[in-house]
Amino acid sequence: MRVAEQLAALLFAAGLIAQTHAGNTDPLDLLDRMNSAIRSLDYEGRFVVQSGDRLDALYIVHRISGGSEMERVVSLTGEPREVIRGNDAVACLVPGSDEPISLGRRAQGRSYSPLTAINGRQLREFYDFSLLDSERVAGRETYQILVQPRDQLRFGFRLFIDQQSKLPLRSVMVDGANKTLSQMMFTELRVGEGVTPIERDLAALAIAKAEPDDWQPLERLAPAAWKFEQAPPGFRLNVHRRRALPDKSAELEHFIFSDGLATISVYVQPAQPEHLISGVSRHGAANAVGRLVGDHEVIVVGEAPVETLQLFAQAIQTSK
Amino acid sequence: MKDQFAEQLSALLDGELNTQEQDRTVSRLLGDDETAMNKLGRYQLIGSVVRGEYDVLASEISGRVSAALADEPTVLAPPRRAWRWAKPAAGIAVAASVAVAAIVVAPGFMQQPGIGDSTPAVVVAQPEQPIQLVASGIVTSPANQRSVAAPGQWQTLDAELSDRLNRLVIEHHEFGGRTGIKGPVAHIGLVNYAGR
Repeated sequence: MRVAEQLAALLFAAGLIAQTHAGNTDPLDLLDRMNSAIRSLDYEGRFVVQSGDRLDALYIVHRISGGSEMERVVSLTGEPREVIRGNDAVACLVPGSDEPISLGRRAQGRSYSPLTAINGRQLREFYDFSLLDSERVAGRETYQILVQPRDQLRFGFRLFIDQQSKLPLRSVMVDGANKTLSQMMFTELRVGEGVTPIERDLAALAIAKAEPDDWQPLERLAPAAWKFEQAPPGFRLNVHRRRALPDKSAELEHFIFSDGLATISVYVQPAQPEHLISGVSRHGAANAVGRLVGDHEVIVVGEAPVETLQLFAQAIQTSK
Repeated sequence: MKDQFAEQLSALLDGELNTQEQDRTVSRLLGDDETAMNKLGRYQLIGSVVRGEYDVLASEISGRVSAALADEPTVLAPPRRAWRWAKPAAGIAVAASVAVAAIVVAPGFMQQPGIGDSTPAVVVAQPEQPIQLVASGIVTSPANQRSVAAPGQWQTLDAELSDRLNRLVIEHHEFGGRTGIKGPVAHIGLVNYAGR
């Protein structure tokens, strides 16, 4: 009897453990853990990105050093390039000779990492999340999450998250007919001990962080000259900026909208009849729509269905 | 000479030596110091990993072998090039200023996770400052500008318009933040444009 009780208790405990594991495969929980893994783990690997008929290979190493994130991304195809990102700076390296070297400083360093955070809980209004059959990527078992838009205004994704480390190893962007538009995939990944150090590149970041004594910010605030009567549902304006055109003749206004997953840019500048981008253009997963509004040219770009871009192009009007 | 022996060890494990060579190698191994034995262990381990036997071996790997493995040259990291550095010059002032613009723009947006819940801010780069945005957010002065290779031709557009659109797409990724799923164009930007 006692043995039977013990056995029952053991089975009950085993059931609890199994349940806990099952709970961990909730897509939104997995995304939370993925977001944490991206920022907190040491890892390095090679990945390929494919868009349309183009394929490129890159290498990334990400390390936590002294509590700070450091990241190095190197292009393995095309021109040799290297970007190193620290907590407050980004440095870009190009090889040798007399070429100009450009250095940048960032407080929230932008990243060329293919690994980006996704806040599933904020996206639930416009996307459904479900777990598909697991698949192997880069020799590792993954959880496959389907991110399906609830309307026709955004593209869907399939995400493959490493079961062990919770790092995203592959993401596939698909259209409404489930056709692949673009994808990123790791072919090799190393996590934890033995990851190649980045410390030898600290000199690059130190230079990137260096500020000349006479450094002065050039930006000033100004209201937007354009507004959007009705942006497509779920998209919010996150960024509005201006910059001068290269020939200094005028300014370009840049609006960036996002629903948390898809990001759309709207550019407005005085139209130059000989250089007009009009109608619809496609390149892999990226679409572009051009439209004349009075004597201004409106260009909408983003990895979203053309219909969505057209809604933005139609919604813009002068704020005067 | 040592490298030659290492090659022999490797060939021994791969079964590529004839009987005579096997005998010679094993004899030398037995008479050699601990280094050779360590090396053999490492080669065995590497072979096991390649053959997918890693899980079986994992518990048997001693700390000593693990440490030895850590000293092995990494096979993932690409070989280093002779990167050359320029001293911070006048151009960096422009770079720094535009970078700050990016910070002011929408702090909430660039923080993870999720889209920004901050009020959109407005930033203006003064028109008298010629600023050219290129991939990776790196900014060069006009003197440093050069024609860029198009990552690809856009349908319905000629080469010049494609190039212009490519620049806008890269700028789109530059300021689009780190949230959401990044399209490959961002990486194509790195491959083709970064640093220009």
